[in-house]
Amino acid sequence: MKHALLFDLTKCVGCETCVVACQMKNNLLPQNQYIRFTPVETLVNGTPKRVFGRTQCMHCEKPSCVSVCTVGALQKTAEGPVVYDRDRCIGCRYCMYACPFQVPVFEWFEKLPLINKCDMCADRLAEGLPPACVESCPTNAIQVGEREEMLALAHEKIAKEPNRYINYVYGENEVGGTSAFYISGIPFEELGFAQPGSVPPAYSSEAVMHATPAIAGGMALALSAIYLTIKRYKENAEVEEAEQESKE
Amino acid sequence: MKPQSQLLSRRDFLKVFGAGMLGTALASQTQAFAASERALVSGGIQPDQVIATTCDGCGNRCGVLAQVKDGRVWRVVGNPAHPKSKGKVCARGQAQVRELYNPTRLVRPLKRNGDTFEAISWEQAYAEIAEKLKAVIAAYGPQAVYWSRHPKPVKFYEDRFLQALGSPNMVAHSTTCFTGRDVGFNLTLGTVPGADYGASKYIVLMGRNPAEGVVPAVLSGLAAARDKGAKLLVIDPRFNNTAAMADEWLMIRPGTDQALLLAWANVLVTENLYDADFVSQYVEGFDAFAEMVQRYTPEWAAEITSLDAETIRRTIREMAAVKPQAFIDPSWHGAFGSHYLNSAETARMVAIVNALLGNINRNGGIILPQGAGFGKLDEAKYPAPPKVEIKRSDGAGVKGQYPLAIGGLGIAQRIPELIEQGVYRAGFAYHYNPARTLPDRERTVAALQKLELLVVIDVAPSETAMLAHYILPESMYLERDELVEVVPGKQPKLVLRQKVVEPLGDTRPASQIITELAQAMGLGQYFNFTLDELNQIFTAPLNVDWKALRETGVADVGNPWQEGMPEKLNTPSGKVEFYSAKMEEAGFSPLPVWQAPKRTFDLQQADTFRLLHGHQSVHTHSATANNPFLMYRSHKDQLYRLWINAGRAAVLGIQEGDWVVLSNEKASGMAQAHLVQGIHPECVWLPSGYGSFSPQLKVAYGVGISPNDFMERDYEPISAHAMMAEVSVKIRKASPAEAAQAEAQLEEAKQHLDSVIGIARRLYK
Repeated sequence: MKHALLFDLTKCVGCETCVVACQMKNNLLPQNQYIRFTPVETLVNGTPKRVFGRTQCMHCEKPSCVSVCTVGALQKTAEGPVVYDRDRCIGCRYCMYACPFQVPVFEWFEKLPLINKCDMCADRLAEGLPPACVESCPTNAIQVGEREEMLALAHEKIAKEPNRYINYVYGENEVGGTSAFYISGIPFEELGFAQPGSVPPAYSSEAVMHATPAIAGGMALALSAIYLTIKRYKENAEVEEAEQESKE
Repeated sequence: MKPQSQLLSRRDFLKVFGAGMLGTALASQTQAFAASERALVSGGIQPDQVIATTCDGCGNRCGVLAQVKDGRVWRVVGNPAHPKSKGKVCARGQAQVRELYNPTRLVRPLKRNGDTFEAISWEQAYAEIAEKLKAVIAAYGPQAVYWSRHPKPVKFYEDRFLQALGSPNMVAHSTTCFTGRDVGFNLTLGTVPGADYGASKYIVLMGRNPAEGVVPAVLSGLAAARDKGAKLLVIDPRFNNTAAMADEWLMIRPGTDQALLLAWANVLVTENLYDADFVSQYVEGFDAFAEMVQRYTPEWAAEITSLDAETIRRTIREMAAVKPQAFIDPSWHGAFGSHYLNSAETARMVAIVNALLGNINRNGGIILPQGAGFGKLDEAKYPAPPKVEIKRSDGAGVKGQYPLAIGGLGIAQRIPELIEQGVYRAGFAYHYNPARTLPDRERTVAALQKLELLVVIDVAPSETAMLAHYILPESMYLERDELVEVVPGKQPKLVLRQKVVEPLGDTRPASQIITELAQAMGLGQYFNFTLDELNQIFTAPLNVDWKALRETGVADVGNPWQEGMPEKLNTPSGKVEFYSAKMEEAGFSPLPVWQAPKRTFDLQQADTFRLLHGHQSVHTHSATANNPFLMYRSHKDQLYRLWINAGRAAVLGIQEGDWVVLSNEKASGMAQAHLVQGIHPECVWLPSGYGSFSPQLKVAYGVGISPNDFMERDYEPISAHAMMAEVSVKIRKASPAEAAQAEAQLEEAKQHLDSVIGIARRLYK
């Protein structure tokens, strides 16, 4: 089953329980966070509104980090999470530059720094348990479930309370769809969420990459054909020349 | 100009204790600690062992399931069976697990030796403390000894020990926390109620802020109610984090909640929206009350509260429409715990408006907690110390002084005063840090230094510990067994704290420390039982399956709650007292007439503000400030900033992030400004828990300032609480030199944090 997370930002009160629960589950140092809060305060009709935006891996359907990782340390799994293998990582930081959501971070506080990021607690999902952030959230602002069901639930919540939510599910179309969906009371641009468009950056590179064998092969064939044709003409010409000479 | 108080404090401390205060004792404790360290080696998500116990991240003591791996506590999750956690543990509870491995924790008994501490044996500590305590009692009588605490399950031992000494002076932190609320509710309802969040249709949080003063079950209850369509109304001078998920927020003028409640009562009475059946059956003094509230119209309240009259009318009409599934939260500290001159009266009005809504002991309303009685000790087998006949020295519950204050809890902010007067000569502080948490730090510290004997029992080298003659290190909460407790509620629950891992260092549980102290005092006959025996005696009438209790940590006891009013409330009339003869007898108004706050503020004075304070979700006052995980959150999010109204900041030329100087006659200090629209222009807001001045709390030391520094020592006349929001401060933008100095101090504190993480990092992973 393919999993996805659903974040209802209208229920998040910024208590940071998920941040610390994640650190404990993953044995992280205090400096190391897979979840980073980005609170925003605005005025809506003269009334303050505070929304706790966050940066946490979106688990893209077409992850750029995976496509640029030269050693296969990042993989998109069939279960939904984009997982990371520390043992394979060489710390090249390509993934940091590739990620449109600025998720992977470099461990500057380590002597031998690598990168790190949320893996949706893939190990817990494999045992039928929710990720630590979902398990710990006191307001149940974070949910986990089958991807299509989470997406449907997001739309259902918006339809049920159109005054509470703006009519947009962040993550549904961003970079071709992700496995982390957000619903909010204020527009995501105002929350500072990335606006990477709906085409996965991985596609543009992939179009080239996927065409490479065909182009390379085609070129080889075409050039070979040209070479052979020319060679044939040359040989024919030589033969004709010889025949001509012999006639002469 | 006076130097900034946080800088001053540091100098003070170096002066008092000397730069060599670290000494060999505390340095060697790090070595002892290092010897017992072990890193987590096994991977995977399954723990080796799961033990049900209770948290110590704050005073709630939520149920947790501690997951043990490789002999170390790896993490905790909420115990779904516990009424306060209901399966969730907040950030503090999660992070406190790693405090076991904080290199600054106390791991051996210490004795003051001039400006430093030296490590001594437990036996030497007990013998010397007993000798000094006996000398104090012989010279000044037993009432010269007080015991101060943050109430914990070990209180049975503490109470018995002090009783055996013959002193009545048991003091909790309560007058700096919740006594205004407790006294107001006790006068009106005869108890301090709870609330039924999940089943309510309209919840009013007046000064209460469960998103930042977290009780997980309250937060999940609010979220569940909201999911079902309940309305959440937050009333607070500050747009707090709970307001982030609320439907409406009312920016009330600080200290005027009572006026809003009086106007709500006015609307309920004049528009005949109250529950007349409930009132006729269960209320004492309604007619006098109804006549009184005539004058408190919404227009009258609008002027006082800075809300508009229509909003006041609309909100109470909304509540009345869904009564009795509508309630005003009984709250805790905020708005009417120990804030204003009118806090006790405000609490009475909260109880009264709830009663007018007919929601007392109703589903979705206010809940009268259901408890369960413990078994008693057989005096033939376990002789009890003689009853103490001497009156309390602080006057709590004493006629002619503070007759309505709670005798069992005492008056915390009177401790320094009574030391100054020579009444208190020897003191104990258990899990309590009055040097940091009481108002008026300078006077408090100076007074505590005058004691002939100060014994601190704690897990961390707190500010108070730094002033002690003896520091007795307690085993941490995950390292000790404790006495059972009953958590009252709809279904009373028996809960158990039990040892998860072996204690580090030479630490002991407080129950053992107190027993051994009693033995050293020659009072061992009053402690001829083990903790297990006590637990068996207490739970004897409750029919408890101990095997199951040890496994699950929680057991149902007593009778489940039933909807509807009990025959008789624990008030003099047995009814909900809108009119209190008890108040009248003590010389106060029997009806909760409007009491203006002690201070008023004028916006024309551009630099003068009321100073408010409050909780943040990642800290429990100063008790968690030394936790590297939680303090890292503070640095990352700059949680120690001062909240100020953006409009007023502009007048003072203050911009976001600017360093500002706060000052009044008590103190001066610096903080970075956080400009927001969502705070009443008359006030500024500081979080509690920063401003540590114990150099041994290496993570907390020197970060931020504490609102306590700016408070006077004061006593509200009804409940004797400390009136901690009746504080005025002047604010100005710091000069570049001052800002640079403050910035440098903050950078130094961050470096200390990094160095502690550097030492402990192997233990975190």
